[in-house]
Amino acid sequence: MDKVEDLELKISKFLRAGILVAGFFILAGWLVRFKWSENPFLRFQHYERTSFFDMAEIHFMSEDWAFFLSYSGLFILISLPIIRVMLTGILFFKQKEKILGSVAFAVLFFLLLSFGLGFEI
Amino acid sequence: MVLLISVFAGFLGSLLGLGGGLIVVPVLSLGLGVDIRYAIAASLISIIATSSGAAASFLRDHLTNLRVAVILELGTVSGAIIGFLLSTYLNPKYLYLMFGGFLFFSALMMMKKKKNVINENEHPWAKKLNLSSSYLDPKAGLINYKVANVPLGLIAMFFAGILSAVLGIGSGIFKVLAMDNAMKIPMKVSSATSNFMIGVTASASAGAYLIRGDIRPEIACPVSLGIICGSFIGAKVLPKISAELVRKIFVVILGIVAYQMISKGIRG
Repeated sequence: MDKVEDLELKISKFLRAGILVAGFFILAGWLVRFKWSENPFLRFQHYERTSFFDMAEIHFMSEDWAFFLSYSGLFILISLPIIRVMLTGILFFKQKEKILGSVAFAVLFFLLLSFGLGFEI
Repeated sequence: MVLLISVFAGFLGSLLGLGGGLIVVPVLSLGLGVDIRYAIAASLISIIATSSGAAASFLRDHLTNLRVAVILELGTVSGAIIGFLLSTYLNPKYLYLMFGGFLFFSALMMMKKKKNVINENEHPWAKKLNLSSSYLDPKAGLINYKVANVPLGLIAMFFAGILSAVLGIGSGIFKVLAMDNAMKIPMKVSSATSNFMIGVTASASAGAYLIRGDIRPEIACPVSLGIICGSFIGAKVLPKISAELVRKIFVVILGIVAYQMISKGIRG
């Protein structure tokens, strides 16, 4: 098995493990917060912009840790492709393919930048 | 109910090579009355879940062209950033109209017969970056292919990225079409590479949607859990059932949902 195949396999295993970890956090948070008696979607029929940090502050004050459990799972899930791009970039630099490595890190830069766009604009 | 529908969406997505957004957004917005902006944000999470699962399998099978994926991700991610900025100013009624239009387009594309033509022309960028590659076909053996028209592929990916962020879809159909028609990459490699890329495209806007507060755990959690379960079941069942029959039924459903989305967009 050459280096590329070896790293592809490692990335593949990483993605699978990442999904399971994210799934565990999401499931745990969802089960703790779930209420059978109410329709959770009624609150979302009209759009209301409340930033993640505003929600986090409210849930922190009310010690609703399940909220943070759910969001941890969602953050892990969103981070998986980002970490995958970083690993790909490292792979290309290890193979002395500077152009492809630089492109991968440019993609990584844009991905990290995109998080910043979520702040009030 | 959402969990069950999401399992079904993940199952269908796995059988048909879709991210699940085409099913999740209409179900949440039309079926359950959720505002389309929350539905789009939740759908992006489901796309990341499906893509990461599928990418793992395709990487293991050496069908994904990692080099092509990295180059094209530059187009999709920058498109997704523009798409997210556009979504801030778009009226929801246009989102319904655009989504309906894209569903019609997807239904048409799914009806088309897929041809597997091997290209002999290699674009200079493909040569410089060593993008051309090979894959092992169970029937035909080792197939070598060359990559054409990289700049056109990049431009197409930029627009695919915009669509993904605005509509909460993986825009895999659009990506496969670009790789297949413009870059002349074989269908199997195009599908695998597209599946690999849609997660990155979705996370480019999902991170921003999450910080903005549009991704709500009450919606995104059951959707992502259902999609993860459904895609695992789909991968197990895939060899045993006729994906062609499922495809035909799904095309009819897409047509009906497209009509309903456009009607809702027109009504406002």
